[in-house]
Amino acid sequence: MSFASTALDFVPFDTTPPPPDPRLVQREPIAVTRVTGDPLDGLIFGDSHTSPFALSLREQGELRRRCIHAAAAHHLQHCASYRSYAEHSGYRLPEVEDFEIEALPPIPTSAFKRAEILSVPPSQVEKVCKSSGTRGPQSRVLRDRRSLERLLGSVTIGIPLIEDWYENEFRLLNLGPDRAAAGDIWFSYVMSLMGLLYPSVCAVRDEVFDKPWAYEQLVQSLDDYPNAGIVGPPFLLLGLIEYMESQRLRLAAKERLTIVTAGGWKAFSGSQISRQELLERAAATFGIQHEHQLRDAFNQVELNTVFMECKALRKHIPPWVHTRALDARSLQPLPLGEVGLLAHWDASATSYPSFILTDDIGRVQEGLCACGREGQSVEVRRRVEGRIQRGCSQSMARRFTQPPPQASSPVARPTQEGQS
Amino acid sequence: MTPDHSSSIYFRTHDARTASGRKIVIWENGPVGRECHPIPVVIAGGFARAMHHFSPLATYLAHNGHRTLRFDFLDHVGLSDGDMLEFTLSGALRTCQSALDWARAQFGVEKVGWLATSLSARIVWQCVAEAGAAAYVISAVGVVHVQETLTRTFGVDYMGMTEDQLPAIVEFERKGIESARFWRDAHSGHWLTLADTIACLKRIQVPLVNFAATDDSWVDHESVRRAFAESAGAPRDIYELLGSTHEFAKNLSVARDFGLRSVALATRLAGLPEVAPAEPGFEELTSWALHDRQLQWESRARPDPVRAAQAAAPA
Repeated sequence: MSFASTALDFVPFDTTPPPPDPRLVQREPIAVTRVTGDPLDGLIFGDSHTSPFALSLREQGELRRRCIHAAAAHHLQHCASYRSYAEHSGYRLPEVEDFEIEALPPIPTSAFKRAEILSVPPSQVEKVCKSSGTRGPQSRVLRDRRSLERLLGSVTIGIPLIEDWYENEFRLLNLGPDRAAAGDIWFSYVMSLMGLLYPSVCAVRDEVFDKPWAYEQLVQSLDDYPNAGIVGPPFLLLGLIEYMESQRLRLAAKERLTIVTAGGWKAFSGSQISRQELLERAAATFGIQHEHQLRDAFNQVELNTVFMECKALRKHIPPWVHTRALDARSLQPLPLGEVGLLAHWDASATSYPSFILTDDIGRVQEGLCACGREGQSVEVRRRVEGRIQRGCSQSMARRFTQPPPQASSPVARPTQEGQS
Repeated sequence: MTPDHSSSIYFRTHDARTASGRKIVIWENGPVGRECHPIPVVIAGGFARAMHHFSPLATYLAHNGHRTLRFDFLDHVGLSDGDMLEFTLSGALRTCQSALDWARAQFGVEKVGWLATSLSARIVWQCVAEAGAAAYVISAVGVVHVQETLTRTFGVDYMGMTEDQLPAIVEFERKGIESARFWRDAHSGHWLTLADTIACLKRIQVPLVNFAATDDSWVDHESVRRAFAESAGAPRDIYELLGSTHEFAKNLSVARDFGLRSVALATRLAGLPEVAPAEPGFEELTSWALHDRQLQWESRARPDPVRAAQAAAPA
């Protein structure tokens, strides 16, 4: 009988489910069709035998430019509000050879509190993701299947920056709620997805952070598995430490425990402590031995990629995201290493443009990291505080929901609130 | 225990027993609110993989009306009896045969559809060649030249050594296998060569479909083509996953496409009216994946009541 071979079709940014292959019904030999797959999925999910973080700086730069250009073309075509916003800013997408990422207008994250920003039909939205809402209204980010999958992919591809555990040799204590209880609150939801990768238990039960139970689970993890982990916001980690200190409980985890904080000190009304103090108290309580056993991960609801911290405690930016610190007044890109308002251009989201101007102050570095990897890394220092800085982004956010100007005359980026 | 929201599929767990009383755990999924399609789909998981790893695939199939059965091999990772130290290919074959017998008896069917990945594909092909009772076999990254794949995986040709040259234990993903036992069985059972596989495939008179990854460093793509081309007699189809590696399902976009195509194939090859596959939502997929993982993990710790009774019985 005949032998048939068929190549799968991959359509970049095709957000509709693939139809059944009509060639399935044919029993006659068919021609082999070789179609290039979606390179961005291959990069995010690690199709090749090389981690995206192991690519050279030059390779990462070229990938970054092409991925983000393709994403920009998609969103400018399909997202009316982003297209209007770009036109307001006088922006026109050039050919990829002339494309400069930082010229692509980023959306102030406050815009996601005002409007639904969507690049796909509403029927394709699988999840409405909400921020923690620590300051007023929540951001609402509408994600389709592909965006959700790629977010999970960024977690999977980033975990080796921390450690390479097999599933049977690691158990995770999630200091947050499980997936059902996390609901639409983004940070809790992302943490709960870790249960897809490793055996996990969740310390928030019936909306209560159950510290005694969390301690017992941590002990069990260390008894039953070669390695254990804790993930959660630093204030919950501090809560567990304080509980153990009050009960005079100590562990001798040594090198077998890795702690990953995420989510910052948002939603915490008490006093923050420094990373150094947290490390010292964690070392005393859990018995960890090295600074690199306490890591941090970064994400926000408007960003579709999680940044993981390497052994040198730098948050590596994968090559489908570009991050820059901008001058808070002029919003012009700052030289690498200088502190400014952070903007991210993330190519992985398909249902909304993840090109965002954040409320975070930090800096971006590029080059060879002490962990041995080349690439971009970001240091997030604090939330923006200045009236002018906040006002600038709010002004841009208001402009995001306005109709485009009638004339096509270029409009300069605002430098201060009320000025054009 | 079911996911937290109303789901389109149900879940049941079964304990099947071999003639010697060894336990094979089988998980069943199917559609809620309608009858299952007449031919159950049996999923044989990959080497060093457990039932919960195939949760998305089971969800896709069940969401589209297929009764789906997953099992863990004996002497393997997972919930069935035994330890991976004692794994052999012939032992895995016997697990397949037991699972097949159980499915036929449990649901009163003559045939099942098979879905298998990697090394399990080779085992399932052998099961179908010997036992028949299959409507079709869908495989993914099926291993056609076992000795070559093992050499590529471990970097050492253990099967090409003499028995006394072997290390006591060989590790795969930090799970140990007693090498001498495996080696003896692999040779005596004629598992190792491409010719062995071709001879096996020639005995299979039902449609075979294989999804081959073109960047698979463990399975030679040309060997797959040759094995399928030379085993004439019934339909043979290959889908080429361009740019994918052996672990193709890590790419969720590829996994999604594979799920939809598997549903379409299972429907067509079962002789059912062809309809566009429906896709379970991301939330449903993740809910079931978390449920299955949690159950697998919790069930590990529970004692087997039959074994407990045997142990408690007076000598």
